[in-house]
Amino acid sequence: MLEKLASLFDHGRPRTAADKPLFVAFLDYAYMPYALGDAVTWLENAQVHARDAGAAAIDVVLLASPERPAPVWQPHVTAYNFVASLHGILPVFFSSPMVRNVHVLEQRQTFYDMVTDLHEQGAASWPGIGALVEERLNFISHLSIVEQFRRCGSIPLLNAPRGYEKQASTFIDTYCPDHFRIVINVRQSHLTAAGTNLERDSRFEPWAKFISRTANEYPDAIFIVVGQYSDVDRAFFRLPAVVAPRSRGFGLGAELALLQGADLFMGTSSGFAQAAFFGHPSYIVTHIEPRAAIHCGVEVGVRHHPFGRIDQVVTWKPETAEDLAEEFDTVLARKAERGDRVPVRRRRVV
Amino acid sequence: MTRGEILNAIAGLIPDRVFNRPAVQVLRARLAAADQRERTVVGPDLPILGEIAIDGVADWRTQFTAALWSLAHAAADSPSRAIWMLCVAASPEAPDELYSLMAQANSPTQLHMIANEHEAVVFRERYVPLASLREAAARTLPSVVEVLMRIDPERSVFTRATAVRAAAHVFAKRIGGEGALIAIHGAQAVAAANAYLNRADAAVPLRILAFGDPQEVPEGLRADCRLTIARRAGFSLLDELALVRFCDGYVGPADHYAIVAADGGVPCLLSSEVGTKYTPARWSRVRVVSDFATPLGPWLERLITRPMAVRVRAGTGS
Repeated sequence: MLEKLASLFDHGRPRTAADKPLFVAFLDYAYMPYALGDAVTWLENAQVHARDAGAAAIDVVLLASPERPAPVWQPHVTAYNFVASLHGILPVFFSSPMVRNVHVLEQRQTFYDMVTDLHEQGAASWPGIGALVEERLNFISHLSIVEQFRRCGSIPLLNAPRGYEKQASTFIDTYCPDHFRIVINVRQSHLTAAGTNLERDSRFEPWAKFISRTANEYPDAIFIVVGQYSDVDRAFFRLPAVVAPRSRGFGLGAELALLQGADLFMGTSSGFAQAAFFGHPSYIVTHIEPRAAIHCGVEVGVRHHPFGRIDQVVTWKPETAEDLAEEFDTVLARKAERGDRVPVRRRRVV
Repeated sequence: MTRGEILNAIAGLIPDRVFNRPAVQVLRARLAAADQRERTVVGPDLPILGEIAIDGVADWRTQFTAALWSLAHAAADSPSRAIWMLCVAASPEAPDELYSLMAQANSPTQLHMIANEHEAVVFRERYVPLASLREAAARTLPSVVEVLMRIDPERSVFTRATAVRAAAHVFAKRIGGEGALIAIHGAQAVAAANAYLNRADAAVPLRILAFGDPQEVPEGLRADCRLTIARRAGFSLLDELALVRFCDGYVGPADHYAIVAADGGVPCLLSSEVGTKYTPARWSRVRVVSDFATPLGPWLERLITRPMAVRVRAGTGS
């Protein structure tokens, strides 16, 4: 298990500036929302474009400037609070094994200077110079990713974010050594002050019922509930076999590391689900919006992303406890077929 | 005539709607940056460069904060200058914490997390103005004790107004109430606070906020309702740094929390093996000791708003 965890942190270092060609991923938060899922998709797109360019490493340049702190559709993010918004998702940018240097800028002049300098060097970038100048960025599309998968048969995967290894191992050693780790994220944006797209939220009750039933049936399973401190319903803490990293002093970086090293991820379509899509764990992601299908390059109702394995399942409707149990059993069967670890079911006394 | 002066001359010749187009803005930025890079004398608009090596450095948070404090003072004297911090680390531990520290400075800041020294050389050559490089080479970054000796709350530099700070203010008022809210950090401070809480009457108007790794707080103390473990309450380092400025006192090592607290004028009781080298300024509210055991009680009791309420069960030790 420790070897598996360690492999997630293998970033192939050391690398030097001699890595050619140079690839730089630019992100300007003046027109990109502060959202975990969008940041994950942006990073995966950067990996895909870097791979196409034959680059071995990516330099990330982020601009969050007080004069234009957020896009027009995030009016609640202002010069007064953008620091907290960026801080809340920063660990994501260390999730790519290809990422080398990360620059967090507050001055547009330096950002544009780097854009033009790298253009002069002939460096490839995501997005391209034209899109950067015109401030065009499709940050939700999976189409380039799907296209690369169809062409190459694989996509570059995200890892546990660099710098959070120690925290993730401490968490596992303390709370769930030798357990079958199921990372859970139930979207409950209605619990936050700036709740958005509430129709994408999931109800607590079906998940609570599923967790209680599964914890009873599989004594070695543990549910690690991830999400912003305000997102996670406090009632989760009263369920059996549940531990929430944020309430134990851990942050997003440790949560993403736990997700990538988990035996299974289950959750509503959200930022953590995106990290699972482009990462390592088996997953069951529920309640995907039909309108997302066009961006994902799939038909509404498909069971797997084009780049998904048989133990990586998506569903398109709000979940019930019965649906969750059925999907759980299906994925466990698939995992067993693959020779992966599955939890041990409690023996029934006749 | 510099490129900047040429640009300003052009500005008068072409309409604003053209001059403000993104493509022209990109060009303007490029020329202005090129102009700055060629300058040989330190002056307005030039970045103030600071560098920190992080790999293998246990107290990088403290070193980073001390360096940032020093650079923020330089920036306060020249408001058009931004602070650029170069952090060289192949695998920085908790990069979000670096950003949390960086976001304390009131000046515009840029954080460059560079994977290795070779990359740092490339970055300096390509983007850092010559004058800034020379200025950085001539500057010696102060140690934490030197910073603590120089801190003057009247010239506070970690003053960025953020929503995090506003939320921290509300929390500190709610949890602290009318009593004293004391932040603690580190095993030594936790042990001393534990001993004090065991002796002090429950009626003492005192609330303790433990920062950092929750594992440092022993089981027995976790059950004490006068103590809140900040990280377990969902606070990150960014929140803690905001909270410490609204506490009535800080007890812990001479670290990043201490610098932020002292900068905000919060009384600090700090432990440091170099305590003998520490000479407080006349206005200083920072006291450095080698051990908390004896001085903590009297120090706390001076901060508690109703000191007469303190009834210590003398001699019991528990």
